[in-house]
Amino acid sequence: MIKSLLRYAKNFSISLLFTGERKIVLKDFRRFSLGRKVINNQVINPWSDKTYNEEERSEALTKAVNWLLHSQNSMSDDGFGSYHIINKWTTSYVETSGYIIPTLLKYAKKEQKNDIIKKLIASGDWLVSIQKPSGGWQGECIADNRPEVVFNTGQVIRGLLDIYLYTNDKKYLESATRSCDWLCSIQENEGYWKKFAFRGVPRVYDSYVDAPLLQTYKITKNELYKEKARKNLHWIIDNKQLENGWFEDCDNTIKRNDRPILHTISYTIDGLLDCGLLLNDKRIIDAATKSADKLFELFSKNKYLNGRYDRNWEGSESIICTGSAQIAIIWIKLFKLTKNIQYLNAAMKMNDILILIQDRSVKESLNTLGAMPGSYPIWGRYEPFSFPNWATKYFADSLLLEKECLKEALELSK
Amino acid sequence: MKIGLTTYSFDNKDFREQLSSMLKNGIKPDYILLHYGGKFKYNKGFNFLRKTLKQQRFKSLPFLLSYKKNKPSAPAKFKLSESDSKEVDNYISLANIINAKGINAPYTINKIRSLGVTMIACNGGRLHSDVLNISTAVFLNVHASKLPMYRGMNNVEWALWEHNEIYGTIHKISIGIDEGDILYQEKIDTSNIELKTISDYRQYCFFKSNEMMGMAIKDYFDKKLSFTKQDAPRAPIAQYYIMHPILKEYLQKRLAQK
Repeated sequence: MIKSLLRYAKNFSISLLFTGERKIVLKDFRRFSLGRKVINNQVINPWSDKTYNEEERSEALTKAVNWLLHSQNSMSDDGFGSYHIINKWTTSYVETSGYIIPTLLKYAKKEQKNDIIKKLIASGDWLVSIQKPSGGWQGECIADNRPEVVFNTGQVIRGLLDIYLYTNDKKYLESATRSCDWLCSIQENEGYWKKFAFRGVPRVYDSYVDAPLLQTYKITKNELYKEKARKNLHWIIDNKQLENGWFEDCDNTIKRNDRPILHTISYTIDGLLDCGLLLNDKRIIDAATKSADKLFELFSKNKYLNGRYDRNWEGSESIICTGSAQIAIIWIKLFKLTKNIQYLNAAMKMNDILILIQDRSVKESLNTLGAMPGSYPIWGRYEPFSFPNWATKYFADSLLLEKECLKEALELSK
Repeated sequence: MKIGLTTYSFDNKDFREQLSSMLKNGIKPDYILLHYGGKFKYNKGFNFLRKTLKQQRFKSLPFLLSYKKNKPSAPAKFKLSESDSKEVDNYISLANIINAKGINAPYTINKIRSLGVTMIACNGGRLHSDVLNISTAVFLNVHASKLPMYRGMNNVEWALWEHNEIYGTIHKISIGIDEGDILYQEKIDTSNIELKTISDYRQYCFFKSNEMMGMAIKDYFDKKLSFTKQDAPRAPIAQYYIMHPILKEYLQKRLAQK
């Protein structure tokens, strides 16, 4: 507790006294602490009635993409790093470099930006070059030189598959299948991953590993990938999902596993949903929908989602931007599936909040302009004073998907 | 059984239209519960000013200044005729007015209890469970959409978005949103009238729905109508929420092109 307070005090004072980003911290202080109103004993946050039009949404997307590209340019290799107000740029984060590729590739194809595609192929090459002999990819940043991790490996596969489908160059597929073989070889009999899992404990958010495993199965027709993914999915929904949709063993820490972060809850739901769709398995889709609907209910009631939720869906901690964007993505996917416009409507409102967070309206350097912070306010407990690249990635994904589905919704209502 | 209406202002459009429909159907309400805790929570005089300035942070000033004026003017075809409006005013001037500080205030609850068996058409303010649990009272709501299909907010908009017909519904107020038993439901014909904007549709549909109140109560007393349970699921995703402005904009464009 004292340690944590001291760290916060240090971060606050350094960010306010010695960094060029003091305006960002002050802005969040103004709008978060002073911008709130209390009406009829209810806290009304500044985003309650703030909405953005389509043009402003496109601008927000462009700014987010530009920041991701700037992140790549700031690295000594072709990966993507994150920016911390005090510690500045990290080295490339292997896992997220993998799953940023599909986001930027989608954007580049839509906007016909070949220069971005070239950079993404370079990123794919870099990922292939750092693959471990086992077939897996290391955890965290490249400079940390950690051993391979199951979850992180799954996310690199996502990027390589997309590059393979675009270039048709077999080396990316070979790299992906090598890692899938490794994932299959280390899965426990019960269906979960423990060896090479983050912190060595089985976690339900590995459903987000099952999805790329199944995508690889769709391309290679290797039945083992399908079998292993299905085994993990059944382990999750049969053993770890409560009746109310909440998941046990869902946090990426041991200490706070009783109230996982929205980020990992979203990984779990998204993984289940994608896998359910890939397998055309209603039971798995229903499991994902159950949790997504609970979060929909909480969002409709409170107008935002907390950073963490306990087993009774009691929220705590401030907004985690990544998780919020991920949930918006899940709702949009559910709109696509069910055609229930309320999912899209809620996702659009969530994106309004995220655009407001991104739109700081202060003079910023390229290191932060367009980036999504880990938490709102920026000193929130998740990735404090930091702009993790995955937050901006999911924010961009959400806006891209929203744009796509808005067209679909309009077609449906014509 | 006593009949009553609640409102936070005698200028409230819905209240006036419902009262007019009751009078037209030969129903003379026994009381009007004038509560100040509905849409804008305030007390009279100084307290009102102090609270409004503090809670609404000056945003309510325009409301404060326009309070005595009529509410947003509706196109002539969607509001009470002059003679109906006069009849309503005459009735209000003679009516038994119960003043209350809020619809959920303890005083209001005691007052409603003391009325005995009563049916109340409600306008403004969300009723809490303490009020809804008064066993001798039935609280009615006008809902300008089909139930149980369109529960929640912006229902006229959502029905238009989904190309569905708009209904007027009179139903019991329950703890769950728009989940109470239905007394009367009827389709609103919008084909014979020129409606170009969302606002047009809303005003017209609420006007027509409010008109149903008097007839529904009369038929209930004549034993021609009874309450019917809603059988739809209570899932939050089955509800409708405030429509995002981008969707509204598209809907507006579509209506204008029609």
